[in-house]
Amino acid sequence: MNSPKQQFPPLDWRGKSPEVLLARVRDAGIVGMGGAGFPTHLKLQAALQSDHRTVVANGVETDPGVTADRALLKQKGSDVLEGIGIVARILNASSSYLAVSNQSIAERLRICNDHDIAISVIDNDYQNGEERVLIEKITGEPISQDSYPAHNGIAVLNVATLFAICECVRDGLAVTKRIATVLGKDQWCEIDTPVHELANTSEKLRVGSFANGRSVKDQDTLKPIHNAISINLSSQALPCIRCGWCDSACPKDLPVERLLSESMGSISSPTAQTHLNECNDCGACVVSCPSRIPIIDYIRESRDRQNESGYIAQRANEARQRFEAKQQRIDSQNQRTMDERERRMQQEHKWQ
Amino acid sequence: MAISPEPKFQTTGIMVRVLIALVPGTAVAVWAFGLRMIPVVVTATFAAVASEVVCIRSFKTIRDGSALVTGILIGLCMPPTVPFWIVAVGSLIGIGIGKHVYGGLGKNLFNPAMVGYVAVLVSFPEQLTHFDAVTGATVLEVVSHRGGSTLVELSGHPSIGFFGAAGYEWVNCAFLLGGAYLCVVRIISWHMPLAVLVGAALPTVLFYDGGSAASWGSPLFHLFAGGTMLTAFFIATDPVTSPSGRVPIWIYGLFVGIATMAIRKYGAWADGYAFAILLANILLPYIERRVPVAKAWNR
Repeated sequence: MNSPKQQFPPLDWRGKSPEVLLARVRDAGIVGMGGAGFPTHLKLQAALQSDHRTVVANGVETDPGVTADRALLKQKGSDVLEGIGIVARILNASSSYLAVSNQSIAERLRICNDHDIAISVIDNDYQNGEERVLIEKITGEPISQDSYPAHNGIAVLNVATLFAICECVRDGLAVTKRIATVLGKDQWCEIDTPVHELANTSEKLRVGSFANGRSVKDQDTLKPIHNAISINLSSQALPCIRCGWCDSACPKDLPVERLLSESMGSISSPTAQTHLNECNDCGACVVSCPSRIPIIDYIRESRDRQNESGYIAQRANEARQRFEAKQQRIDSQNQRTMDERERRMQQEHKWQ
Repeated sequence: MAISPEPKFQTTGIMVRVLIALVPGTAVAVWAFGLRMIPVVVTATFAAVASEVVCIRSFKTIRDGSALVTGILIGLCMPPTVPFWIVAVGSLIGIGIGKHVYGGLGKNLFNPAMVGYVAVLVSFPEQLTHFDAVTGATVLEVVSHRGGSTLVELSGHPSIGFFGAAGYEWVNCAFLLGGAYLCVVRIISWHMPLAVLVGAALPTVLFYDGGSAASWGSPLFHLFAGGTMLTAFFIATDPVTSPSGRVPIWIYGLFVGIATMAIRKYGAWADGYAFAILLANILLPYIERRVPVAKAWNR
């Protein structure tokens, strides 16, 4: 592996102001590496608007078969803790937490914990790694569904993101590699390597876990947001036998089976529209499916289609409003001209 | 090294476990109705699998085991005296018209096994109702025509067992056992069989008066007679043609149970489960559409 590229001068972050640190995070282009890919500096700026700020480091990974975060905490735990310290300084946070799913990792990190971080062990039950669930587990207070945690001053960051923040601030390194679970083995991968080259197999692959990852094409490369490369099991999918196991697996209690059959048939019922946006892509349905149907692919496709048609409808509506306003302007203009002419005609008439 | 956790079972695994669960019932049926049950079930199974191959012109979907299960269920519905060609026709209609006309596994509206069975039942009523070689009629038929008093009269007769009809009580016990296994390994949820059994017991509990000529048989008799347990655990629970979600499951199951009893009492046929299942299948889209998915009830 070639040596990482030195992109910025190293910073002694304890002596720098939060603005300088935030600018560095922005310039390094760091995004959420847990899978969402949301720009980290925007998340931190959103959290800065709030009065009480909290950092939550998310080391609870519940994607089936993915152990990249655990491996990172084992190998680079102190760097992750330093990353939490940096973010806590940027936000001037009142408290910072690290949630991990493994007792031994927690014990090891507590030894080198010099940043006053509360390290807690959370069961890696499904969905505990989802940020709202995690916040409720740690702080005991639920976040309402219609606001993001960052709007409440809580910055939930994946441990891989925090490691990247630490490296870019302390050492000035760009994000050129990340740890990813490649077919069950955790390894450091160069970003932008073709996925098939990393996995070294001709089978169909997914980036992310086999449950909620996305299928890849031949030339697709590993991005910073991808925490795993897995076999695409759904290429062996059997027909849906409507057993309903996906319904009972769904942590959000959505009628998955109905959504799936509607998505397959390209039908969109009014209930489906709300349900599709409630789904948080966890992939529990895919794990439970005895026919190995890539349910989440259908759900995503249907959601995209719905949102797109919603967008088109919105654009059409705006265009219609603009057209009507213009028509009204023209009409009133004509009316005014007519009135004016009428008035002048009458005036001329008066002069005669 | 775990690359990826497996799903609980695969569809093939489900079918294999259903086959395991059918073993005790089949064995007891052979013991109770005679060795001719074996070739009947084998014929039905073979014909079902062959129809599957013919319908899709490929051996690919045999592997999922669904045709196998359908065939065995058709065989188990048949009386032992039935000519083999009728059994084969039943399987052919079940797989061909009941399943592949609709597009194959998962897309059929009606339970394929019941489609095949009902098709031959209405076409060849004589051959399919000569179940009991001794009396020439099933006990259910006698009860259907002469009321509950028969049971008291005949309680010493060899064709009446301890609590169900002779032989049937043990066959039903064996299906209950196999069904319990399916519930324990969580292939099926226990709600559906319970709903069917409650639905079947309900009218008999309400209308049983101790055995007068006009009354129904006792609840225990009806639960362990005919195909009650087979229906409750193996036919009503067919995932493709039954609802998911707890409220729809209970509506569907109760309907199947009550309709079975109504056909036994008032219908022209001795046992009504096949018609009850098909009626419930007709109702299913309506039930699924009208019953909102109650979130808290779904688990």
